[in-house]
Amino acid sequence: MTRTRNHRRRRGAGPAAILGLALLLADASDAPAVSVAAAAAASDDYEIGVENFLYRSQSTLLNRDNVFGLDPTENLFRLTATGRSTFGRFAVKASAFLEQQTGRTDKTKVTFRQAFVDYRTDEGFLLRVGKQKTAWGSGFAWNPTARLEPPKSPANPGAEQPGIDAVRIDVSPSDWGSLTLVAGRAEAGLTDLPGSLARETEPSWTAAVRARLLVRDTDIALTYLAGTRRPGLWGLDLGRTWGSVALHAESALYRASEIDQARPDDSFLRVAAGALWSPGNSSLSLEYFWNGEGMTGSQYNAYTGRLDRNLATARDQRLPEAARNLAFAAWSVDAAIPFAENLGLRRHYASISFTRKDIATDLNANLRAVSGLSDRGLIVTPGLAYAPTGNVQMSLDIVLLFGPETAEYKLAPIRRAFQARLKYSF
Amino acid sequence: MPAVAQAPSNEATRILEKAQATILGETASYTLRMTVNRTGKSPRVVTMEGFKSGDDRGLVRYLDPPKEKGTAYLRRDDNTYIYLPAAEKVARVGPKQTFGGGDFNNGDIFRLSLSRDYEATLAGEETVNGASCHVLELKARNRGVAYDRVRYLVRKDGTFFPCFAEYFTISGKKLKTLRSDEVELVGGRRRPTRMIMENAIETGAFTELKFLKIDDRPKLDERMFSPASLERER
Repeated sequence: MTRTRNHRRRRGAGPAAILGLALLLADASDAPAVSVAAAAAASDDYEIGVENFLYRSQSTLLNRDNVFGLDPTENLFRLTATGRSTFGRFAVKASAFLEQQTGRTDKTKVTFRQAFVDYRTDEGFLLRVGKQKTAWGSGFAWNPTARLEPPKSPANPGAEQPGIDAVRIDVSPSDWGSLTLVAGRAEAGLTDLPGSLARETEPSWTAAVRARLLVRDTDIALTYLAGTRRPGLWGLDLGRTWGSVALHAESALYRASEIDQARPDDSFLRVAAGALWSPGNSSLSLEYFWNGEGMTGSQYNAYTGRLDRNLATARDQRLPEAARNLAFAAWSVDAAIPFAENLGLRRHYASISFTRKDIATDLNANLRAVSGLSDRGLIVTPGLAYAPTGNVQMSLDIVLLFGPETAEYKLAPIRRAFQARLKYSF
Repeated sequence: MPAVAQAPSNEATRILEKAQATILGETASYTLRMTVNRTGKSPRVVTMEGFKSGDDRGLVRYLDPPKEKGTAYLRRDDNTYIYLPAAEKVARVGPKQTFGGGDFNNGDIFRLSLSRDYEATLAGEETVNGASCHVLELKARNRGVAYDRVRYLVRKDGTFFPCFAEYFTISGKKLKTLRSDEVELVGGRRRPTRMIMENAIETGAFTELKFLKIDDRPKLDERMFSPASLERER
């Protein structure tokens, strides 16, 4: 499913309280002598910016007769700000945006992407409290082991992801291994589509432990993750350089389907494997994703058929209201699946990404393509990035969808998106 | 300039090892300014801090310009990683990737032991800018290194300062030329402080690295040279 932007439906808890705590902690720190390791991490960075995401909506299998009620053009305009300051062993980071949505609904809101406090020692210990991102995994477009936070969009991996409210502890007992513990609260039902119907659920708690090792020039990360809505997930992540190519394989074995809630006891495997080749000023990455719980062709047809039937029933004025409400509720559950926590509805996916720096003065070009191999759906995202000075960055990306109308990626009620960003760093 | 092939020699290796040690000590921290020059474009200047531990470990982090601040490269043995602040992600990259968009690649910056990666052979003498130099022919021990062959010139005046190098493909095509100069007193001893890598393929393209500060005896925690420490940058 196309996910071209990300926002939370509710604000994260207590960024002001976190900042207040940070200031208290900063006052309490006694400006210790700063070692090389601590000095390396110490910096103050600030950034302000503007983002505009424009989407062209369309009726689709999921948005039959524009049931979502979208305007032909949905637009998000954001003012963004990010700041990070260090106070001895403490650091504070906050990243937020003020968003105005125009289209189906005209509304303005403030969202914190991150707001956390760090405490770190020279011995490799880190404590982080607040809204934060984990961003685990070596995968480029898909990260089957990073399930603490909502999955990023394979169509737009460069989009900034929101964090979750969490406590994180990192311990590095040696230079070849480290251990990370995270416990956090994520909201399900996140969606990145304008005005879409997300599954409304209570936030779920998840805890995870991750051991990262470097053994014989191979990166190995072992992950275990469990939570209130997730019986358990084992992750194995491998990375290694082969000649001038960096290889990776990230896999997750977990119980309980993320697509079909009626399969809580089945186990599934997901694997993302790929390579990065980056000679000179260019880089080329390829990745394949196997989604073990993905639907077969017949299952997918049954799913879209069920969407149609339930929506038709819900709109049939000849039927009793109770029956129509029941059908609409069933349609809502199915319609939310592509926007829930799963990483894709089908089994086979592939992505390719090419970046070329300096195609002209201060101008970089990139091209990303993601394909659902099972149904020949294709998302192509060409983009340009321009940095005329040391402080300013601009980028423009266009998201285009191709393939048959029945393809998973074309379920999304959009067909094109234009994303423009301007950032000023100081 | 064709070299007279000779068998790899201990003397050539000794000269190479001494030459490498003239710029940075076994352990070092430094501040570096990189200027990337391209025909018809304004120079791109990046200031960075770096740390080195032995021949196998290096860490470089951008300090300026603000839009690139926080970008970090880590080299550990044969593994190279990059941390991109915008993506808040650590990625493993190959040794032949361009370092910071200039004419040096990751292998030039972080492959700190030429004597381990290349078989050195003495191939005569040459004069560079009035200084008599040993000519070393370096042949790659394996294909994983950045260049197949290097012609490396080291001053004969007892300083062992490297002064000139040429980098070739296996077919003999010249890729780059390196010049080391501006011998200055930095960090308590005299050493070449400027290296200019000129691209032999792209006319007018060259990148200058200038050491602004060097400390040859920093106290470094080895844990800073780990991908896990890069992950904690964000």
